[in-house]
Amino acid sequence: MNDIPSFTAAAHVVAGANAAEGTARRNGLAIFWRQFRRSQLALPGGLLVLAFVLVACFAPLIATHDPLKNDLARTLMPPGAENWFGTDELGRDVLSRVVYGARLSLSEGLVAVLLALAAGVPIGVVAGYVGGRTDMIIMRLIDVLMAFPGVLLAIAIISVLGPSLFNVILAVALYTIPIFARLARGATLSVKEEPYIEACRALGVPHLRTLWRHVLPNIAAPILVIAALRVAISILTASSLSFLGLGAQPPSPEWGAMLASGRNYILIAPHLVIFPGLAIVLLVFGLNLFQDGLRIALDPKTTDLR
Amino acid sequence: MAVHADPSASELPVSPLLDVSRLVVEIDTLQGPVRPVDGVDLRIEAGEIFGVVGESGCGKSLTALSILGLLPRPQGRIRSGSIRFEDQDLARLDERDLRRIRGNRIAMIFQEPMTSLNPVLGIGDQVAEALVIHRGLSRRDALAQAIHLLERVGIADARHRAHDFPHRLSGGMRQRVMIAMAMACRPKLLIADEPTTALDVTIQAQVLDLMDDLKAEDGVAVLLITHNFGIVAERAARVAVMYGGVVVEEASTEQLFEQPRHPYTHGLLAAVPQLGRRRDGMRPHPLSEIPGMVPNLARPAPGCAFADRCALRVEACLRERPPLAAVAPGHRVRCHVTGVSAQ
Repeated sequence: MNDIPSFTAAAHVVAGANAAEGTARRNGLAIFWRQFRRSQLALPGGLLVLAFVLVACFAPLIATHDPLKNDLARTLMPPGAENWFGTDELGRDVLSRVVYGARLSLSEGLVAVLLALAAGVPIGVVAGYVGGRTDMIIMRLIDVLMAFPGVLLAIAIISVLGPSLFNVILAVALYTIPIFARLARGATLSVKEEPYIEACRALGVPHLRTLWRHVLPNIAAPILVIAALRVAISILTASSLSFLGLGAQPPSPEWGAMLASGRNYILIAPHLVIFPGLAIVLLVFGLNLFQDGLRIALDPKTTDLR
Repeated sequence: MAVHADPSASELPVSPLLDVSRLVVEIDTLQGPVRPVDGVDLRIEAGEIFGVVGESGCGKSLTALSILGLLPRPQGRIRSGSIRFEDQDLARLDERDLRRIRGNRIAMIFQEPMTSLNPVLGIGDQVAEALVIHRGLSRRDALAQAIHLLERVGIADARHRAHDFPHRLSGGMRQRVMIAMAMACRPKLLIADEPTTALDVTIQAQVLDLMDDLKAEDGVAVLLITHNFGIVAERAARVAVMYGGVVVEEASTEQLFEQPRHPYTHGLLAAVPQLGRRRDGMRPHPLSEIPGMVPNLARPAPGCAFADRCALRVEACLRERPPLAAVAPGHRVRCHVTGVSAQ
């Protein structure tokens, strides 16, 4: 211990630090990838989701027609060379509508979950970290929110705000908040007792910084896994609400809304419900598989390869 | 046993770096409030290693936690007494002022190196944390300094290891990282609560050597809390023995080991196991133990806390708590029998 290395030039050290950071990060990704692959269906699920994301991003390039353009000369055409997925009752191209619908469905799920995360996680973390009376009051309010059946709560909100895609997203986000709040609170309660949080106090780390840098990263894994699952559930719920006429309004190519208008023609033109229905099923299925891989990759108990 | 000179002896009589006086800590329990620390006095000079020894539950860790205002809340509090440090009474500071001192003027390292580091943050960033908070450095500058600090505490290839997560490090390495974190802002006082208890013996020696080096280079005073008399004998200049929430004996290490006065100190020293034969060829003494149990905090006795277990007990011990009285320069004992008769 007597041979303490002399201090090197700061610039030299910083340059080295940046190089090392790259390798460390790549290393972490490699471990994540190896774990992720352990769930055999996670990769197909992830690819399925990725495909939908790409379709949504490049919808104008993929769609063969304008999804909103009526063509009354070609109504209820079965799938064929001109319209691969056929046309609906107003002669609109179903393929193009399903393609553009991916944008709506993905944003329904993602925006609702992001809003719920942004509200629910801070609520839960603060309740768990502060504890005592604050915790009691916050969690009782959350319990009240949880007492409503999800779809009923959404319907109540929409009946106040009026039916629209954005209000559906708000409603879905609102009833997802308690899920994240309770999850974040529980995880915070256990992390709070860890010696490294005590060490933060002994180091004079301010509370907000402790929460942001030390508590949040340590509770992120379970929250991310549940968030991926909630994206799937939110898409289903939002589509259901649109199907009931509470969400996206015609002529919007929302999948749930397409199902609703297509069901009138189910006997003579089944492709009107098959393709949007299939899209919902595949996207939700893919998200669930992906979520399972994420769970295994992020669960410290399964990361024995480390 | 090393001979340590008192660093303040040749200088002007200055007030000590840390002066804990009549500190009483109260903790609420289901049986009502208890006082695990009941009138502790400690004086630590700048740049010395000061050992605090005692068995589990004697109040040594709570004393350390109360110095930094880290008592468990809301059930724990400083009931009375003062903790003077650099012209401030830490017992009276609010949370905001204490936070400026923690990790900056006074740092602390804990017993559990395996769990005292954040598992999802690189060790460099964790060492840099104190610099960002107390020195206002940018993350990049703080990280560069953190790498120096990691080198100083003997982490090989610190530039690369700074990006490792704690799970890649052994227990001894993690304790080195903890020390680097604690030393980042060059504190005046380092509180080390059982810093080597979780480590094996060779690593213990290395970590203690490191603390010795830091003391010599930075002039940091170390409050070394331990139940290991061997560590105290080797490293500390002065020692306080705690029992039942009070300091029962305080002396230079030499005085304490050569002329222990308090019956409890005698008992503790006799209970240290010895290996092999003695120098005079005799077999070692059989290991002795102190009869009885630690006192029940919920029902404190009016007299000396050690009276129940003490072979030298007189009638006054049960009635009245003895004062911490000087028996020699720098040697104070809290005992009716051995503390008074010597003078």
